[in-house]
Amino acid sequence: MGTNVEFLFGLLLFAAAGVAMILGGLLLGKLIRPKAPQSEKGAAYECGEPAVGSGWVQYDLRFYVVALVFVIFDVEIMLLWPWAVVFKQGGAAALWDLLFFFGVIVVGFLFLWRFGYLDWVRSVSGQVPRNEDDQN
Amino acid sequence: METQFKILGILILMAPLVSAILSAMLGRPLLRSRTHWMVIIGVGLSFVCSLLMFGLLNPDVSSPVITIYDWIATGATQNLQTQFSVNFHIDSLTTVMLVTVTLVSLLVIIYSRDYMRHEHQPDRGYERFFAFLSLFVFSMCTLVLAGNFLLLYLGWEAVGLCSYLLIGFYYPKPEAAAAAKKAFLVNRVGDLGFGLGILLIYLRCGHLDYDYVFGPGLIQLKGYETAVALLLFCGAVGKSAQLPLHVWLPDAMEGPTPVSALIHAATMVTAGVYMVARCGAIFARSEPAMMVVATTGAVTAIFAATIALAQYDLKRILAYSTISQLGYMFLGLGVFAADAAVFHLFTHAFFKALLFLGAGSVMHAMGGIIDLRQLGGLRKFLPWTFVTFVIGSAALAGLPPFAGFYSKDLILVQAINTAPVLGWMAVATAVVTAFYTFRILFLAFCGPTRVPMEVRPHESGIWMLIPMFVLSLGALGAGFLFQHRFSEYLHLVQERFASLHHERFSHEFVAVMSTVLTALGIGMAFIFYIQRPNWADRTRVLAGPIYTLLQRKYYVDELYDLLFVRPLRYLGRICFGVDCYVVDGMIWLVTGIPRLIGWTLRTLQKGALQGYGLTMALGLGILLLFVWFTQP
Amino acid sequence: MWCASIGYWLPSGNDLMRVGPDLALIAAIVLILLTTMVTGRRALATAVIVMLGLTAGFLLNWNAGVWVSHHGPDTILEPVPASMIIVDGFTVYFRFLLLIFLAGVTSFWLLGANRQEKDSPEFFTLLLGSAVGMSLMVSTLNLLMIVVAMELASLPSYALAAFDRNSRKGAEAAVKYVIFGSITAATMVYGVSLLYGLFGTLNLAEIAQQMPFVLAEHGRTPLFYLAILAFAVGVGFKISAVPFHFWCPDVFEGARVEVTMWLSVASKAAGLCLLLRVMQTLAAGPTGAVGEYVGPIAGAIGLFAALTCFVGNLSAYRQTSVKRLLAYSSIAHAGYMLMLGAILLRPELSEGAWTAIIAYLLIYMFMNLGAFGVTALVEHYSGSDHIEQFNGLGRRAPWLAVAMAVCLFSLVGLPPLGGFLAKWWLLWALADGGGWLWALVIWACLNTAFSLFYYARIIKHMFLTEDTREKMRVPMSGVAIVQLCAVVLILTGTILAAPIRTAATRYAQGLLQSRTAETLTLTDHAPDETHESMLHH
Repeated sequence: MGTNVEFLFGLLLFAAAGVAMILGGLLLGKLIRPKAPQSEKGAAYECGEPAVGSGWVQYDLRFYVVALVFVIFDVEIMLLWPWAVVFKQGGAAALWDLLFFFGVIVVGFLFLWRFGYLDWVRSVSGQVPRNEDDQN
Repeated sequence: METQFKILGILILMAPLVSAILSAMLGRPLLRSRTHWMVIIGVGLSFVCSLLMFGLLNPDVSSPVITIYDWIATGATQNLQTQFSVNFHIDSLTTVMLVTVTLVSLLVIIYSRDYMRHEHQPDRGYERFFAFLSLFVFSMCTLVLAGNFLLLYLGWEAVGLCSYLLIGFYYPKPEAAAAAKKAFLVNRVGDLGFGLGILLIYLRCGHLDYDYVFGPGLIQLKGYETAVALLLFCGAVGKSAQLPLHVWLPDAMEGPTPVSALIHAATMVTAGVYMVARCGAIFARSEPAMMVVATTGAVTAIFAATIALAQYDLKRILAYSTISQLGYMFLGLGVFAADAAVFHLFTHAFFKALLFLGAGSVMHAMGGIIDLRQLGGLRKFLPWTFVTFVIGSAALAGLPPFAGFYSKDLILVQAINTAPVLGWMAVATAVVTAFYTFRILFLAFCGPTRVPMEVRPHESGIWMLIPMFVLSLGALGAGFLFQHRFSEYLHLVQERFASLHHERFSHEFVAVMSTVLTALGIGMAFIFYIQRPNWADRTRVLAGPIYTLLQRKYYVDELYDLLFVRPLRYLGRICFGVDCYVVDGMIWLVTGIPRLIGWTLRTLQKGALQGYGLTMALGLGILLLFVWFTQP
Repeated sequence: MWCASIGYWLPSGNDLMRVGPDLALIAAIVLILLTTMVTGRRALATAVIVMLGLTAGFLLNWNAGVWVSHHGPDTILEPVPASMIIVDGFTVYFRFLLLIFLAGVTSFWLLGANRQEKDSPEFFTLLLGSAVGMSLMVSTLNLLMIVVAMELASLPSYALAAFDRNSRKGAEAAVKYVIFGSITAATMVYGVSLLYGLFGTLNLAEIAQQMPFVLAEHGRTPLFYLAILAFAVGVGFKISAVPFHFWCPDVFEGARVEVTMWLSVASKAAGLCLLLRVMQTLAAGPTGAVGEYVGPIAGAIGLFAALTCFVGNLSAYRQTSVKRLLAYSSIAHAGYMLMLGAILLRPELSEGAWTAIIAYLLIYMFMNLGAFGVTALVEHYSGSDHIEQFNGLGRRAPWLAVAMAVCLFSLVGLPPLGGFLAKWWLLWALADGGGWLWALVIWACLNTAFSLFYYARIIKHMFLTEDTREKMRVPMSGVAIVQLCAVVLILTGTILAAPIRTAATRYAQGLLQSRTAETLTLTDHAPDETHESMLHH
């Protein structure tokens, strides 16, 4: 049990140190920074551009689609990396292996493409989407 | 051989079951007035298979046990069997029962085709009737084929259920509903004992397979044979309507007549006899139990026969006569003449079903009239029914060439030699039986007609007559043909008490005596109801209180009402009061706790994600702490 | 070298046959997408492809089952001891369960108002995707694979929960689901990384082997517990064990009823099977280690199983949405099944436990398919799943009402239905353990009694509450499916009682043999170079 208490103590110490570092930094900043409470301090950007409206607006959903597609390919690239490192050992089999994987992704990608999810401007096909899809 | 038996057994069971399901499902939308074909085919197949099985079975070889599949399994425990299978125990007793059951069922179903059609419009339960009948055949075959007590119990309860459903077939009629309920409740009393008996066997032997229980299990049952036998016998008393649980059977006549013929005369009520014969190994080891069985049988036999003397309802008389005949069978079982008892069961199935079908034919002709005082002189309207009824009556009374004579005689011989008092009671019963049987015959078919003017009796159609003819053949020849072969075939060898082995009265003496006495009974009936009809009235007046006693069936119903029904009803009221205030209050309190917790939990789950997260984190914390503190 | 490396990279044809069912599902997904691209969105074509895929998967799984029963379990990518996929009797069993259930969900999708829906390709892509994930969850002992499989199962589920785009409730539920899912997944990955840090391997069987040696070192036990519990959080989320269950009622109520059906059975079953497999593997470590290191975890699982069924049952009181009610009921059932986790660590009991769980899952699938199926039909044909909609169902749609009653009574665990036997075997397996497990048995019985109240409420609404609405017109096929479930429940409760148990025992034995085989191969091979180098890259 003694060792466990020791361990627990260590853990607590670690946690406390972590908290202290954050709080300490904030506290230190509060103490030493000059105070100049101007209205620009509350603006969204402090880099000179005057902000228009609130920061809490709803973003266009298209950004999310792009972000999601990006993440998918990002993850795919990440999967390609270890493969590329040991590609030599695998040879042709490795190529087929990855092509299969890639093929599945490509089908999904084509699907997105085919139904216009990648079009930035799809006001028409986006708003009245599904009835006209068949005629496309 | 095993495979053949397996296939036959499955067919015997499945054919009626499938036809029951099909006629229940397709009956109304599709088959309608053709439903009976479905059932006739199913039960017919079952009958053919039973015959084949009968033919294939070699009674001298030890009976095969055929496992179909594992049915119920629980985890293992010491000393108790935890794997129950559906298995068939096929021996000569099984095949005899199967043939009897399926043959009579088939005939009754053919008979019902016309009988029920004239009773109803086709859409008023015609399909239901046949579906239930078919289900009954399935249940009864399960009961008979069963190779373990669990399956036996299942079949036992299933036939009870079918009986309940069919007694209450005319459920809008209050008497029918009440009779169904009565049958069900009275049978529960017996089944309680039966269930306990099976439980006791299970606890002692740890097995429910016949093979085990009647083999090595008998040693484990040592010291408990009497208890087990008496508990099992409770079930038989209920199912076979023996004293004191006989009250349901006369009321069961509220069901359609074919049902009375099949279930409440020929087959289901004999399940008790079958069961006691099957468990002969246990019963034979306990002298007191055998004594109880024999006494119950003999007392019931004379008790029911005397009641039958003073009744006017044709079907009820037959019901009491069934009770009385079942009493004979139990007497036979109790005096170590199981083969004779089963033989009587076999012949009785023919002639009693025949009599009931005859009664149905009369009812059919008379537009539902069943009171003997309104019948009379039907001989010229219903010539064929009359002939078959005479054969049935002669068989029931026990006149020599007819079936009943041979089987009853065997029981009487054994009873007189083994337990003289009971034996002589049975002989007296024979006289009474002859009297009341021919009383029906004379009152209904002979003498001047007392038929009301508006009724025009007519002979039944061919569909009803053919089954009656076939049964007449059975009632005529079954006894004579099988009298010697039967007991050889059955092999129900039982250990008899050595001291009672010698015969005081020879077989021939008993036969002659019983024939003479039966003739005497018939003669008396002839004098009373044909020659000097006023003697009957005079006797009635003379006998006065005794007659009333008989007519009121020894006041058993009233006694039960006073002893059980009313106190129970009061108890019920008290319980209801307790339930209303005390139990409900407690339930309110008890459910209050979960309701309170439930309310708290629902309040917790209001949909705010932060709260969920917090609880989750807390839960993980508790989990960690728990592991922390319980680690070794 | 060349040949060896081919074997390393490309599983042999035999191995591919073992994972055939998963490949069939993936092929179905690809086919759906391709077909849709060519012909446009057609619900029926999609459904046909799905059914073809399921049939192919079924046949391939049958083949795999036959192979496994002849040759023993197959480990795929064998040169590496840390085989990625294990195909044993249990995997095969679970895939069968999954495929049958998928067929059920697909049929209800088609029967409902969704037939005209243009979104079918997406729906089935997501559904099959999560099915592949679930199938993989149950067929691996590699931590990395577990994480990937769980994510593969979860991500489509989030989208499925929000599939009804016009439903605010669905959107809300999906957001909650995503947030919960990501938190728990993160916790789980954290636990996995801790385990990897502790043991230097991702294979659970190896971890079990090394447990006593690694943990003997000072200060490592608490870390191990933290890691295991963090891992369990992810699984707990999947099976909606208290306190990770909060997403469940919201999602079940908000999502479409087909999705609810899917999540209530498949997702939970996969999580549960994964957890039990993990426990089983850890318990297969060297003797002595089990009681010492894993014992407390079993206790914790028992405790939370008890809590789970309690909370599930009590929250179900007074729910008026039947879907939500069934959601709580499924939480309670997850609790019952989780109880078995407490005894898997005792080798002498594990056969009973696995037998019970295999039988329970099968029967549970039919109970829920039936109950949710009726709810789906009622919802489609009366517009809501409010309990009032069930009023007078006994008259308006007698076949549905009877099937529902059978399923509900089976969910309570009343004889003579399958649910009773399933629960009976489960409790029997627990009771065999003796000791504090008896408390669990009694607790489960008490909970069963509680649960009767809310299940009976639906039955009361169906049969005792008068309703003047006209008869409900339900398609025959829908009635047939729910009736089939009811019949299965009745049969498993009566005449098929022992065959089910025998089959379950056989699967359980197969599973346990595969475990011992696994242990053997592991002790034979030391972790080799390639493996090490691959992991550390």
